[in-house]
Amino acid sequence: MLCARVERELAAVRVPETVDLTGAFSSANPDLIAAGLLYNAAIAVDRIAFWVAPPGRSIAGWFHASLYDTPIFLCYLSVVPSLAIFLVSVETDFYDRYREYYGVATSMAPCGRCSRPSGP
Amino acid sequence: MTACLREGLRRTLVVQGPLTCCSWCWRPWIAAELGLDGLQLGIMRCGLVGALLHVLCLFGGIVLLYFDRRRGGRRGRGGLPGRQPGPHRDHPAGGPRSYGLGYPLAALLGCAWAYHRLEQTLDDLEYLTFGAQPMAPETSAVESSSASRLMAPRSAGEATLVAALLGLLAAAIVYPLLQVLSVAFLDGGVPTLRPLAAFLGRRLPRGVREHAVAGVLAVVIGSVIAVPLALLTVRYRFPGRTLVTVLGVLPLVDPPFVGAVAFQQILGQSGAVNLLCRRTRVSRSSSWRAFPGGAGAEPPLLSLHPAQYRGALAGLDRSLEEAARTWQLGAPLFRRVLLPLALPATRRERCSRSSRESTTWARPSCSNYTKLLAPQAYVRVTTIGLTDVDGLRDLRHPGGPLVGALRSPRRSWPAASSRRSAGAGSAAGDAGPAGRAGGVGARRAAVGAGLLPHSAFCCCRLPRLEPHALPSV
Repeated sequence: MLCARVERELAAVRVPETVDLTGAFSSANPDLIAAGLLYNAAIAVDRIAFWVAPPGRSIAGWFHASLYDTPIFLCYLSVVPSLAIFLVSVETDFYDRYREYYGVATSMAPCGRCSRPSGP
Repeated sequence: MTACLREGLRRTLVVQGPLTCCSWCWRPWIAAELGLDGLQLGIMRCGLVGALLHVLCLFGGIVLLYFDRRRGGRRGRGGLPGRQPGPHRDHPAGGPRSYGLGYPLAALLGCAWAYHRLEQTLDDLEYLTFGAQPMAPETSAVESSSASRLMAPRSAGEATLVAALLGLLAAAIVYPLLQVLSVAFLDGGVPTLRPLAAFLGRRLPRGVREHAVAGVLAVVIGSVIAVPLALLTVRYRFPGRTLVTVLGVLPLVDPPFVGAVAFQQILGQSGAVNLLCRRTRVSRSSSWRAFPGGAGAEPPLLSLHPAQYRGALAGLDRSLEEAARTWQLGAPLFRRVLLPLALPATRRERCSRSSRESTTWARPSCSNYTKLLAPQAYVRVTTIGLTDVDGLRDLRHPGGPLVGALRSPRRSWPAASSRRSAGAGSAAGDAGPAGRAGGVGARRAAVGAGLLPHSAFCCCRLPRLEPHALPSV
């Protein structure tokens, strides 16, 4: 449902950057799929290892807990401000430069313009 | 572009470095507050180092993906988990002294690989740009309709992947949810609606009323504080503007209960406001309740972040403001020009604020937990079965999931509808690249005006530093 909503929202905006979500699942992006899968597996795999190991214990059904959960959760919390800066500030600033740089390439501009510093 | 990358890395380190150092120094205090034992303290020490390296690894990996270096990005980001199971698998067998070491080691290896590949990429950037990138954007995806794209036949691989994802979703989310919900509708294995009927009969009206109060107050108080704050950070340059901006964005990304912990410490029974009232003998009541609605008293103050207002103001066309100045509108400039132009985005912000605050507080209030805050709910979830055998029954009360389920579709509606109503040509859209080129002009602020945002944040955030022991009165 979430993907369908995103598709519906983005489909209304006819810009060149419109994302084809169905293409995301195609075989053209195996590296992206692997990166996303492995990265998100990293967030959970250590906790799962502790859940199934002797330090872990079953709470009820699928719910497990271990002494590892709380400290590592606090550590994940400590990266939230950095990720906020990264996503909101850094990535947007960098994207402007990135798009400008590749715009030079896609508009068939001379190669020398790539190394020319851009304006603010 | 390289300079921008370096600046971004510097900014990230400027925030994450001190944060890691502070967390490292305050480890014993945090452990004492949360009741962590020595072993967990050691895990936290490793985890803090790992978190710092994790951020750097993520930075390098995402930048590699920007440059379409997918294999490098996969190894940089994927190297983190790829190497993580090894040390972690050995941890429980390797003894408690090795617990938590896998995370920083994996992050360090992923970080080293990512920056090695990033260095290579930046060295070969011009070759990569002109030799490996498509020279014209593909337009077929834009031209095809969304319906045809969604209904297009999928290959066997795609179908398998989608089926696997849906299976994972069902196993990890749907099945546990159904398991939780089923207890509320079963009495000794016999289906029953008595808990739901009791909930609807007694608690729902009060819950709905309190949610409405909380939502309205969240919008009103949040707007009163956040709009001027956003205007100051957009229009004026003053020392620490970046810091105030980041602090304004931070509540958008932190989990709700983090804010709830903060405001519990401000407005709770042993919070700073109560202590201040007692010290100054303003109030002798046992808890501070300035707003109606019991649990609804606190959420309005949770919604102080001015991020979306700031984005709306920053996205305005600067020529409109200059035209208004030419007409010598003077003081009514904001009210008659800037605010109406920013209205679509601010309306979106208000809707999402209202929905979020009332949803955050729906469960405890509807479940008649007028003193149950989100952090307590979190602690309760993590200790169910260990020290709180009743907690699971409370969590399985139909009220929480029911209200959450009722509210969830509505949460997405205001943003979507306001986006549609705003239209693509709105002057007050999000602060995208085009909007960033315009924006309300920033001027150097006078000393007094420059101190205003800092004062607002100090008033809202720093009371957390008050001692939290309830004095005997």
